Amino acid sequence: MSFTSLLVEEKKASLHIQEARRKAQEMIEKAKAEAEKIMKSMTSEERIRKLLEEYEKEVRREADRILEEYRRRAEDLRSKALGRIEEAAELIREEVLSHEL
Amino acid sequence: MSSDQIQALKEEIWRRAREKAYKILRDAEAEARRIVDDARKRAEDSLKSKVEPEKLIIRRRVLGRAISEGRRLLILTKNELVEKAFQKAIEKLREDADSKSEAYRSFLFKVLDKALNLLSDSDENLVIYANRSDIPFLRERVKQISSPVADRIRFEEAEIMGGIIVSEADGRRIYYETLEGRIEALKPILRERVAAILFREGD
Repeated sequence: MSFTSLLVEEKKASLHIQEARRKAQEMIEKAKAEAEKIMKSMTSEERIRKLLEEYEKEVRREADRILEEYRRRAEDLRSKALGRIEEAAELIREEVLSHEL
Repeated sequence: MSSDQIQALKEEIWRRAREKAYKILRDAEAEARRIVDDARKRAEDSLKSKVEPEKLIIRRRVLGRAISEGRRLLILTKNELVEKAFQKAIEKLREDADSKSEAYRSFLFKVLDKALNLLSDSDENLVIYANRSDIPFLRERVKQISSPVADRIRFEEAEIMGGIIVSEADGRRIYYETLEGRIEALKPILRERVAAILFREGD
């Protein structure tokens, strides 16, 4: 064994590190490509359109529930008021026949 | 230098090299993860900034329409019910007029008295329009009251539910007091009171 063999080992070790650097660079490049892909796929017009379509469906379901609640209130009003029509009509009759204008 | 020492140096060279390579790869892995995570976050932020304002517009449009439609439905229902009350009142008044109920006769005579009083200064002949069945009652009433115009009154049939229209012969002054006219005149005033009865809470 000699110093020469040490230099050879030194060189081999250096190559080993270089290989690690190459692999590291490859990893970074791959990550950057992946990042680019993520940006494109997540913010594409198509994806936004689909998201908004889904959202609109959801809001429409909510709107249907609101409208249903108003219908229920209208029916409730109707059923209560129908029992009071006679009373209201009597008020009108009395006012119409009242001579005081 | 002995071969053992050289061997020891070689092992040291490799230990350091492996350590360095390992660190390079771990750092790269961490950096790669950060790049992807960062991209995901930026994409989410970007998506949010594009989608959220649109969502708000959709929400306002769709829910606003539903609320407005719901309110319209309530108003229409209320109007329909108030109208029903007026229709019912018309039926009752028609019954009053047809049966010449006490309340109706009292109304008829009072409006007649009032009309004749208002037109008492008239030099013209007066025409009293009334429905056929009311005319005999009105004639009788005119005979009973003392009015300067009593002997200048003529009766004419009119297609009205009840009440009277009294007109000077030249049509200059006309006094309207028909049941139909009173219902229409009182409608805007009574709507609120009718609604208060129909839609009051409780009971």
